[in-house]
Amino acid sequence: MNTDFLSEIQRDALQEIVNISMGQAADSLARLIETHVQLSIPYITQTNSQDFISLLTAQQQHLAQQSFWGELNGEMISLISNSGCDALGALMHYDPPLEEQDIQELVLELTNILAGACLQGLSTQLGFKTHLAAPTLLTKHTWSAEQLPWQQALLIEVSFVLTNTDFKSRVLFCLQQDSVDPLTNQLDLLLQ
Amino acid sequence: MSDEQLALRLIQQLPVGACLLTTDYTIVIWNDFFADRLKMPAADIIGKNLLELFPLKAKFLKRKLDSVLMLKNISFTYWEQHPHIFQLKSSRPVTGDEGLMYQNMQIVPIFSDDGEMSHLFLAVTDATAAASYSTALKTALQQVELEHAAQAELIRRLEEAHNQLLQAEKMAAIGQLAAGVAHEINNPIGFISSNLETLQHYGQTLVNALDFAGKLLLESTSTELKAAYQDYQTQHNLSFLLQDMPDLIAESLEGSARVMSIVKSLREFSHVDSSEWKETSLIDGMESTLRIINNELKYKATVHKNYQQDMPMVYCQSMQINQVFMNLLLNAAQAMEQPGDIYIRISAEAEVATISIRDSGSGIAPKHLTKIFDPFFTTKEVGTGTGLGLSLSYSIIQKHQGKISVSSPPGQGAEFVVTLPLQKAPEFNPEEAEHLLMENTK
Repeated sequence: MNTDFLSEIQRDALQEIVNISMGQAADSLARLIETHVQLSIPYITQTNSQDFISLLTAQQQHLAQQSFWGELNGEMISLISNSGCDALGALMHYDPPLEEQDIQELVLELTNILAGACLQGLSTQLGFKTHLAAPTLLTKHTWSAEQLPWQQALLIEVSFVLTNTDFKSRVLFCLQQDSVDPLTNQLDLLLQ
Repeated sequence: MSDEQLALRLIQQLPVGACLLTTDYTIVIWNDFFADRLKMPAADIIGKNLLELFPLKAKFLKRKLDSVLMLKNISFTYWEQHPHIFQLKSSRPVTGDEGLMYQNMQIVPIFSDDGEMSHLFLAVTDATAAASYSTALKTALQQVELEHAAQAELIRRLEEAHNQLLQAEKMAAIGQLAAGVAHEINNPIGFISSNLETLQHYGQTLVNALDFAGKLLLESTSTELKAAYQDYQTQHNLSFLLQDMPDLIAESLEGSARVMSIVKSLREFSHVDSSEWKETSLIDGMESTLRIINNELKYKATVHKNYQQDMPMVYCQSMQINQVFMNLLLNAAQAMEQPGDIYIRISAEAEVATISIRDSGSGIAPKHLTKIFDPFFTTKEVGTGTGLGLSLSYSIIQKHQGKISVSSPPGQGAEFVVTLPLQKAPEFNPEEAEHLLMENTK
């Protein structure tokens, strides 16, 4: 099962749409912390469970997850660099130095902001009704490809960088194979 | 009942804390969950500013509310990070031990028909059960980890004790062997020595007799006899022989005395019942040890002794203490890259005897200082050290309720200081204690 989820034309359209919605996410974050936020061009890729796990098990990062449901079902995953958390905490009016609990809260808060804005943008653009569940921390445990109930998933990745700090964050918009159909149908409608 | 009234009644009955705020934090709805548990009736609260009502949490609440206002996005807060946002009494006043309720909070933006945000809905849910379960689990896990660490430590100490036992057994075996050898040598060296003494006596008499005979011959009137004697004397180098013989015997006697002294030291060192506690002279112990390892030391170091006059006796296991001295002295000698000095000081003060062994060797690297008493730690080449000497010494001194410490200032060699109590501290004797207790209660 290695067929592509998206045709080239679908992929281009999706990239355009995500670009707009991510821009809104960056804008939200920038307004909240009153600092310029740079973001990359969305990177749309199809991944197998093994590659996906190696993405999550990279060192020196915090992981959080936030599910969304409705007409589109999937999860947002944020990977947030350890470095630069202090700087971001200061911008978000946390009292330094950041304790472990503060960092956890910061990661959850940031995930909520980025995921919320991304999903809101994407849903509006594509005309989906979606809801966000509460974000949760993905604590370190051993992942195994066998345990994941899918082989292929669609990932839309955008990275955020805060100017003048070490802070880096990546947001992954993940749809597993069974949930891709509503998206491709909608893209086809838009492309007609 | 109108739909609105119905909805309001529903909100009052919700099993979550529900609070509706305007965008300037003024409270519009305050349900029973909040009112009853905080003892703040809705009548007193509605119309008030939320941040002013809870000044201690104002900064945190404002940050959360503002982020929702700005991002138009729902916000979540968990009990893990902020367990008690509101001072709500625990939902388990009878069975729980928490005191305060653990809370999760959500702040949801409410939009009017024109799409503008008009209100903020603040919902607090009770997470006490989950929190208490999770906390108990965490505590149990910590307990297990602690026990695991304690077990690992126990295993390590068992291993250490096992190794020390092995070493002690080896030492005991060597000791017995040495005692056997010493015993076997003791007899022959005894008669060699006593025979040599007799020989010395006989020899002297013979020398005297020959001297006397020679004198008589030289004084005789017969020139023939005189010439024959002088001839014999020259031919056999008699005068040198007579002169050298006492020296040879004296040297042999000295040698046999040394052998006897070594044998005596060996027997002292490996005395079969030497593990018993008795009043011992540390100076004698040190001297006996020095004699045994004289060969190891004599080409490497000059030993400088500084013994306190009238050194009191120390109650200890002399053989074990001698072994400590030997380990320290051998280490000192092995630390010498070129001939150097070893300074030994034995003194007593108050109830403590102090033995210091200082050398002018290469010293101990700071990074090794904390490890040198660990079993199997050695910096010697493979095959030259077991890494057990100092650890064994350490445990022997500890058993004597003494202390062993080391200092090694860079470039100045190393100094080991052993302190021993002159009298052993009384051990706890259960029978005696019981007896005393009985006496007292009579």
